[in-house]
Amino acid sequence: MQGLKNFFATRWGIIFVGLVIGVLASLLQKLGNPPNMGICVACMERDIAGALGLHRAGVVQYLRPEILGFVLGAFLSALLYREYKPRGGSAPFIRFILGIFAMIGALVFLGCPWRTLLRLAGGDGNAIFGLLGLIFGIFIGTRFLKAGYSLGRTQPASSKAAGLAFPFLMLGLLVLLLIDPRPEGGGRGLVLFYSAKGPGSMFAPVFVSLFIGLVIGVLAQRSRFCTMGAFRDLLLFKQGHLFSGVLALLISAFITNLILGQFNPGFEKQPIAHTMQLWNFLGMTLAGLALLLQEAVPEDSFFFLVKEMLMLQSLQLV
Amino acid sequence: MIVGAGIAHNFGLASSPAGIGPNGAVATIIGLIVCIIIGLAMRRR
Repeated sequence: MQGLKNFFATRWGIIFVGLVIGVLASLLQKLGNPPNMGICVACMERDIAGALGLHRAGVVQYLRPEILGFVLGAFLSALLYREYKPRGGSAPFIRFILGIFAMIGALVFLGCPWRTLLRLAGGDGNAIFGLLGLIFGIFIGTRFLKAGYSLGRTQPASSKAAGLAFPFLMLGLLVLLLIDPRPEGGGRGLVLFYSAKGPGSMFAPVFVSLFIGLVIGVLAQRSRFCTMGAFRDLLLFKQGHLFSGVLALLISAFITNLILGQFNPGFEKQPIAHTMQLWNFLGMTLAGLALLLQEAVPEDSFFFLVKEMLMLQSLQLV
Repeated sequence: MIVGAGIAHNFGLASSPAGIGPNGAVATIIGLIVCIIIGLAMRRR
C-alpha cells in the first residue's frame, strides 16, 4: 500500500490518473452521457439541482451518480489511508458566495474546468475561449494571492464527525436514486425530477456511472489531481506537477474520442455549447477567479476540483 | 454551487446552445465585480 501511495505522488502517478480520467470520461459519453460531458462537475451539479427541484429547467434534471461516486470514493479512500482529517471554519460565507458565482460563470460558458478540457478533446473550438478565460481568471486570482489575499487558515474540526455530514448526504441521495428510479420517458418519480429530453435525459447506466465516479474519487484523493491547482501552480510557482496530469487528461480524452468516433472539430453546432466567444471567455474568467479565491491557501490544496465545487471546503475531507 | 445552479436556471443566467441566458451577461459582470471586491477586501494585514 505504501508503494502505491508513493506512486500516486510522483509525476508518473499524476499522469496515470489524468490518462485514466480522460479515457473514462470519453467512455461515459459513449455509454450514454451527453456529448463532451462525460464528466462535468458544474453540469452534473446543475442536473442534481434540477433533479431535486431547486430549479425547474426541464432539460437538465438528473441525479448524476458520478458526483455521488466522487465524494464517496474520495471519502472511503481518505478513511482507508488514514488521511481523514476534517477541517473547516475559514470564512464559510465568503466561500459560499464565491461558489455561487463560480457556478454562474461555469453555466454561462457551459462547463467546469474538466468539461473545458473534454470539449477541447471533442473538437469544440469554442472551448479555446473558455480555456483562455479560465487561465485569465486564475491569473487574476494569483495576483490577489500575491497581494496578500487570504481567507485564513482552516482549523481542524472539533469532532471527527463534522466531516461525515457531506458523505452521508451523498449516500442518502444515492439511496434516493435507487428507490426512486427514472420513470419510462422521464417526468416526475416519487420525489426526484427526471428530464424527458435534453442533456438531462442522456446518461450512462446508473451503476457504470457510480462505479466510474468511485474510481475517479479514489484516484483523485490519492493523487490530489486538480485542474485549478494545475494552472495556479504553473502561474504562481512555475511548478508543473499537477499540470502534467491535466495534459494527460486532455490527450487521453482526445485519443479515446478519435477511436470512438466522437471527435468533431469546429465551432458551429457543437453539442451543449454556444458561439458567443466573449461570454465563453468571461464566463470562465469568472469561474476561474471565484474558484481560485475559494482555494486561496495553496497548502490546503487537495482534491481541489470536486471539493471546492461541491462546497466541501468547510469540511475538507483531507 | 448547487445553490448557484438553482439561481442560474431560475433567473435566466445559464446559457443554452441558443446562446447566453437573458440575464447571463449582467450576472457575469456582477460576479466579476464581487470577486474583485472580495479579492481586494480579504487581505491579510
